[in-house]
Amino acid sequence: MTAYACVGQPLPKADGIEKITGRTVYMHDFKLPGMLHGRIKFADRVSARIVSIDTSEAERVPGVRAVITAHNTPEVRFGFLKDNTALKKDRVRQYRDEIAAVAATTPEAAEEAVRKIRVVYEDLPAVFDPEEALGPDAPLVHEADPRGKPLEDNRLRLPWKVEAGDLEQGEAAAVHVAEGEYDVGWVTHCCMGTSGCVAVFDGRGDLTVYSNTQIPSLAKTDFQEALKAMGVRGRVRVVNAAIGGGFGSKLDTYAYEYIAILLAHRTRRPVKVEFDREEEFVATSPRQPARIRVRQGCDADGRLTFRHISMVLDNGAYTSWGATTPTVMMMPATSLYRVPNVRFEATCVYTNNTYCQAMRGYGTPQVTFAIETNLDELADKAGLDPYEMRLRNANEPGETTPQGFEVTTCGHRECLEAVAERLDWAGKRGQGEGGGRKRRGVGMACLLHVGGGAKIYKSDGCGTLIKMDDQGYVDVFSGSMDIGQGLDTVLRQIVAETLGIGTDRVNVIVGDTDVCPWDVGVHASRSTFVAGNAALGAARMIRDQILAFAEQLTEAPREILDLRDGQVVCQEDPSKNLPLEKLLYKAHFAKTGNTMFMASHFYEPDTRLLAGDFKGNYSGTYTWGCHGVEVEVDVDTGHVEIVRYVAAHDVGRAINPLLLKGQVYGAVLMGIGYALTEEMIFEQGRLRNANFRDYKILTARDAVPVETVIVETDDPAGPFGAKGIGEPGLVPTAPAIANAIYDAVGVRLHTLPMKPEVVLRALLDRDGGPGPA
Amino acid sequence: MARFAYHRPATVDEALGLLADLGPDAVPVAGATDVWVNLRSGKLAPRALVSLRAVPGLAGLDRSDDGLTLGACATHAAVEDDSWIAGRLPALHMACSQVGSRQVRNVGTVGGNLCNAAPSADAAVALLLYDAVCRVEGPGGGRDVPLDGFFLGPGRTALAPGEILTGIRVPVPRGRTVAGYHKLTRRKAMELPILGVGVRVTLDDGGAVSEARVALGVAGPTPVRCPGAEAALAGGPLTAERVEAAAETAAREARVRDSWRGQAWYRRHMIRVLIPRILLGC
Ligand SMILES: Cc1cc2nc3c(=O)[nH]c(=O)nc-3n(C[C@H](O)[C@H](O)[C@H](O)COP(=O)(O)OP(=O)(O)OC[C@H]3O[C@@H](n4cnc5c(N)ncnc54)[C@H](O)[C@@H]3O)c2cc1C
Repeated sequence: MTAYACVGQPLPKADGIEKITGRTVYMHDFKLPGMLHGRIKFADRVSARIVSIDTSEAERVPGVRAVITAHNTPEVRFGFLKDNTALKKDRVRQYRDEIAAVAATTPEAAEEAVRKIRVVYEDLPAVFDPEEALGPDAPLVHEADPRGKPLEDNRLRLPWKVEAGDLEQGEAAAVHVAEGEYDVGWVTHCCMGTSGCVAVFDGRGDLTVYSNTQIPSLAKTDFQEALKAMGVRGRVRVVNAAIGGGFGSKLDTYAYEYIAILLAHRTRRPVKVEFDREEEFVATSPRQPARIRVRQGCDADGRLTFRHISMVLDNGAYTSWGATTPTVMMMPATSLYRVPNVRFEATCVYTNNTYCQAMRGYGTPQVTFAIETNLDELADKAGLDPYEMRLRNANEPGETTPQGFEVTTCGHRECLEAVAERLDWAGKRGQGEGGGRKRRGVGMACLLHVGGGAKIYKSDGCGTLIKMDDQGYVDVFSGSMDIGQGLDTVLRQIVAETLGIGTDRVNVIVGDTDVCPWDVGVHASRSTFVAGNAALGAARMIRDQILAFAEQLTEAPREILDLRDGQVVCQEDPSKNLPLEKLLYKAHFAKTGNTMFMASHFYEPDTRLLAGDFKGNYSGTYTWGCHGVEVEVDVDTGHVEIVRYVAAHDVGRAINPLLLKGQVYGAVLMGIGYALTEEMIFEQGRLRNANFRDYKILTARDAVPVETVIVETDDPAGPFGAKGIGEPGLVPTAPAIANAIYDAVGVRLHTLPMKPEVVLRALLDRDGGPGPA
Repeated sequence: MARFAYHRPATVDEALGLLADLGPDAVPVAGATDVWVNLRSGKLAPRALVSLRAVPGLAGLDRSDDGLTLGACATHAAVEDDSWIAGRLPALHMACSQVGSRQVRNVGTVGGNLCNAAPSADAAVALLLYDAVCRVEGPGGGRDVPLDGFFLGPGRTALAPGEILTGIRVPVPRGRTVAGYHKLTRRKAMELPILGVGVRVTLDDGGAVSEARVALGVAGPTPVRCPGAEAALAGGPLTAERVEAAAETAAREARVRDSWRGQAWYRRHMIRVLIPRILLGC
């Protein structure tokens, strides 16, 4: 592969020093003159009729400037199915429902006022189990859809189903079949920075929302719609503060943002709503739970003949992007390994639980846990080494999968081989079942993820503007957003490489809809690929402009001119080399024909929105990977220690290996948390563990070394060959660990997290130990 | 969070005077790692905090042949960093070294851990093993309260209103001793125990167990000793059978509960597993 000056270099994050020295302005640091503090009164019921809301006492608290409810503000609807409202009028459907809100001069006054709001409820029946919610007598979470049409049951009208090949034929051809049910619960993003925003109207009625959204352009559209509902004629600008973590939590707009807008409009003052940690746990939307049934089979040689996956997802009380995750779960369900006959169907169900959203992996951690654990079980039945089984079915470059994905580059096999070698798979597998209290085992699991955007919205594009001054400094205005993942560093490298200048000459501006072009948002591991390609396209235009000008100036033909090390380089006659600054100066201050260089480019990947049958190529390229882990299981306590962890990914090309590894380290730790420790504990729809004492995100002391293997396949569609890597690092973590636990102690676990008591229970049940009584 | 006054008395007498004057509206505070959480959640809304941290001598560690006297305001970190304690009172050292994180241990105090009287208090379980005695000062003078009788219920201690804990005397066991504290958690830091198990046996010259202590955290409304298990250990040599029997008794006697933090069967089973682990290393 070609070697580059900037691309491929392990540059530290451009924003790193600002962040570690505390200078970065996060939402928590952000203030405007005259700003009020908003606070929300959440319901303390899970399902109820709101009989009355008394705000009179709250209004009398000194410093209070406004108290709003659904009764004194216009209705603002939002969400994927528009089944949610900013403030609830007469019905509570989940314990985090917004009943009222206060704006006051201090956070303390706002808090006191919220405490003094009196609500009378009449409790209604509630349902918390999605399968119960599908039953004929289940209480309805929504009696009608947003248009008022009565609903008969709690099933969401979303057609998540894809089928390819002939399932019955695949079943008939199978010699071995494995079948199982896998249960995964809620986990949440745990962003270091909690959610918040400041809304402010100017004298013309134009709204600015200072936000930490992952979707500036779509949020702008959402807020514009809210203004329409409020009967306000202004326009909207979304400006981002620095974001203290996203992971999907900020992929949709939330009620608190509309409440800030309503309060700002009512008070004519800037209003900030900022969550404390408990509110962050309670009032943002987690990864959703699923009960997943998998049945797959293989022939006598271990080649997969069919796979059938069906699942029920707990949507919670309202609908956000969480309900659309099956469109991405379909991808590994149909296309991870070569399986000719596949069927996938998913049902999302309303319950009175918290409503769910996107979280890193967008459904694939759930479904991959089921597929990859089940595949190990199938290998067992077929008498095959699970590694061998995976190799036999590994995806290949150039194939078109049953769902219609056009695989270009594919390093699936290389990733498998790298993991097996690093882990000493052959030497270590099957050694666990000896004596002793601590037994070791190895396990692996693979992943397939979108690596070139994901067309689940009408456009998957990103716009970029670039301007260059006459000294060779470049400003890049990207529609995308840096949420900590390192986009601004990567864009610097791409633009600097293209223009033959140093990265210190490149400035990246993101997160202001008045300045930056449109982008669908930071999700689907798409930003390096899509925003990278957009920046690359614009930078190439500038390069062309410069070289065209250089051709006139040097009278050397374009073909032998290049931009390198801040110079126009003439390959055949170095005496014609020209410092870039000189050229830029000459262009700007020419006697005639004065010019400066600027360009714009909107990049839309050459992909298709999934049609009615959910088939077609919805990503510009695909990312592959394999994780391998060695664990040590304490058979007396059920504790699982990670001894070694190897994560191999086909990333196309590592634009910045340092940042790439950072993404993988962080993701693997998030994945280990999902596998072993983390769970949101809901009892009757109420979250019990809304703090870091009881929500067991891993600490620094729990971090394990992760050996990363970067497989580079130089993807033709990616910027300098790169594919996305933001999410993949946590996708196969849980099944790899589950498979390693099996290798160590011989029990299969089908639920997450595999906390010590779960492992221990499984061991005791198998060995006829003391019962749970 | 409600507003409150913050006092920093320089002597024990001044502290006692302030507490007497301010009455039930005042709360004594050391590292505030428990107090602050309760202030933030609204569980506690005092008019005044009386900090004991500026009182000279209350944070000291006093080591002698007889044992250790810990000032009530000695931090967990001070215990963690003390090799004398690590050598002679290993269970206490293990317990204090595992509280929260180093940042929490830098400010959180052993006295605060006792006075907070949580069923999960790590240092409390370890101190029960060593027959620690609390030194209490109050408006009516001073008194000694054995730790065994200090805890009355969750969050309730033998301290009368206006009284404070000033120190904890911890005798060093005489004779060959095996002791340890096992904190059962899911993570390696920032955890309250799902279960805390402490055991000490001291052997006489003939190798028989002359003194046995078994104490548990999160196995009842307060940190508790297990007299039945102690009796099962005492009297003879430290054999596997004796240890198994003690573990079984402790598991049976423990008042463990089902909660979303941990199930009763698991806690009970782990008592059975961890007591032998501490004593026999298996
Ligand atoms: C993040 C975090 C992690 C934690 N992890 C653990 C853990 O792993 N294990 C554990 O056991 N605890 C843990 N705790 C709880 C707490 O840190 C400990 O209980 C600590 O020892 C309390 O000491 P303190 O000095 O901070 O007490 P404070 O908060 O100052 O006081 C606690 C209570 O004791 C009273 N008090 C304090 N000193 C005196 C005195 N001398 N006389 C009379 N009354 C007094 C106060 O009025 C209050 O009621 C944790 C707390 C936090 C915030």
